[in-house]
Amino acid sequence: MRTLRLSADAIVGIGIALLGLAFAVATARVDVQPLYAKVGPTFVPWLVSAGLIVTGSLMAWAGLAAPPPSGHEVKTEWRPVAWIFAGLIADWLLFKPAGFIIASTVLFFCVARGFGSRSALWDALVGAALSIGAYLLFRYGLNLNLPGLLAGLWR
Amino acid sequence: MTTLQHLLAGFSTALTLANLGWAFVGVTLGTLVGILPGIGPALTIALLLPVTSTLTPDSAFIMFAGLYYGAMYGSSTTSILLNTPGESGSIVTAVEGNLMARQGRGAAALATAAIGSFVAGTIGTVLLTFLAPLIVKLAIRFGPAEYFSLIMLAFVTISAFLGESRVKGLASLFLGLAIGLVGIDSLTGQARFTLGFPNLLNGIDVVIVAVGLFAVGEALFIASRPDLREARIEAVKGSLMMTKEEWSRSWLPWLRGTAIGFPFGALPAGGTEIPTFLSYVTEKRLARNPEEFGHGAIEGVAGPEAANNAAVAGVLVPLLTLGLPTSATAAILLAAFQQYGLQPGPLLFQQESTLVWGLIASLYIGNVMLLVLNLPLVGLWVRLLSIPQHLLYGAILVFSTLGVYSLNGSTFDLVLLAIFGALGFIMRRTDLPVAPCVIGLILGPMAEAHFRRALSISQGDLSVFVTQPLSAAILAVALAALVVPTVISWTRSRRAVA
Repeated sequence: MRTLRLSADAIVGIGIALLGLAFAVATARVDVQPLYAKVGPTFVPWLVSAGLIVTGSLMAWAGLAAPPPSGHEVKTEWRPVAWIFAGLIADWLLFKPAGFIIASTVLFFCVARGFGSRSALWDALVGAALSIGAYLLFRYGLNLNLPGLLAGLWR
Repeated sequence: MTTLQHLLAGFSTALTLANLGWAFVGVTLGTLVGILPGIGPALTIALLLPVTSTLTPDSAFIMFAGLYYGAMYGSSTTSILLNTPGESGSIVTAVEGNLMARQGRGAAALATAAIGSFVAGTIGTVLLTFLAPLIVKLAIRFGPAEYFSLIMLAFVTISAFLGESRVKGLASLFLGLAIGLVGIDSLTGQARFTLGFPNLLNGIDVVIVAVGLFAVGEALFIASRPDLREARIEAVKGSLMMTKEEWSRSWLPWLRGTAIGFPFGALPAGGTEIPTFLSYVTEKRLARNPEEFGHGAIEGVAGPEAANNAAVAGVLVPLLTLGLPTSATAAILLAAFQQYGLQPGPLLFQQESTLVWGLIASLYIGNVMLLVLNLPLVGLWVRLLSIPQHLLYGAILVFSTLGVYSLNGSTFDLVLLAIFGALGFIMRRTDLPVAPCVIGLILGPMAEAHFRRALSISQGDLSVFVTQPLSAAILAVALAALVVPTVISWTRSRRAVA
């Protein structure tokens, strides 16, 4: 039995066209003062919305018309992608409450996992050393304001 | 003052101890990021922007320009020894140069790449020196209509000639334009597409988009592809002193590569990638023994490596004289000018002549530094290639979040970084070129401003863009670039059917 498998091009093309639709809806909701009615703040957004819809549709169309995937192309592994994304989300959540050093160590650890490293302790140590070095360089060397270690404890 | 007097004054700026130091920092960093796969000049300059706000513009731009040149030198080393292009302008080198390295001629490939880069970079800089003032004289008469038409031309050529498909190039361009629309409209003060987030009122910073698309997107993509995760490093074999035969086979390709690369960079026609392919094809056609191509021909390294450095010099011509970036790195450089409140264009040459000529003079100096850094010291740089991938990308992402956070001191930007990282990943998976998106993002708001300014001068009459001869001519070229290839392929397929 053949199942319908959409190619990546078709999915992304549809996504771009939908984004264009969303932009069009949002453009329609921008208030325009009659003074600027002719070429006001919505003129270019209309063009860009149309451009997204047209190019997205063409890309989706070409993606659908293309021969179905033969199964020989390179496989995408999703586990590494999930690791790196988890690292970015953890970094965002920890950045203010736990401080730059802890957040960055966690991010480094997750990215290293994502790239298939197997020495967890070593990754954490390298990540911590790098984060402390970067913190000292940017905080004291370049006078950039970063949330320190456990906000308030060490600045 | 004549051009030569300006250039001499420029050398007096560039030769101060501080600026020599910044040029050295720039070329060293450039070589470093050129060699390391995964980070390029656009990303590095974007990450440095928050940090360099404490430098004077002279020093900052001398460093950035050195970085841009240096990345082109460094990337050839990676291409030759690792078979992974360090930057997109070294894709051809990654084929032919790596084949040479596998046959034990890696040192000769490195030498012809470095010396070719020096020759092309220097000739390119000479051309930039004398061409820029001429274009400035022309550009001083440009009004909003001409600038708008020029940006349209850049949009079309960049999206039509970069990457494999015009539809994808244009889709990427429109994505960038859409991102650029977010925030307060500069002419009426109205908020657009902010979804109610106050953090979006000032627009989305180009640094966040660039770092997301380049660093995070690349990390996600490489990690997801096991076939890209392992690469074999070739040892440097042979002598770095080229033989007489290698010199005689290299010098013409260097000059031809320069002749191909410079105009491609200078015209808004797609940056450093296309001229390297053109140069490769040209050398293959002209070679005495074309059967060597595909098995490690030195001409196939010498030509393209000269072409990409000449293209970098060429890219600086429209960037400095018209404020028109034609590559992703140039787009980030434009953002850097804006950070200092400077607008590249004819006025920059009058008002900031010290900065402009200091920058141009430092390019000559940077080229000499790069030749020294990249030829005798290549053995040191090669060790960088053995940094394990997981540590390299871990560090890249830590510095990316650090750079993005320090823009506004807001963790909201870290969320945006993750979103644009996802977008960069999706674009890589579907072969959407990234450069049109970055260029659309930075040029989009400028295009809109010029467009509406031209219309308010003409009192809403749209014909202003086609009744002024210069503007009309530029628009006609842009239209032709968009339509002609379609018509050609259509008639060809009709003929094939008939």
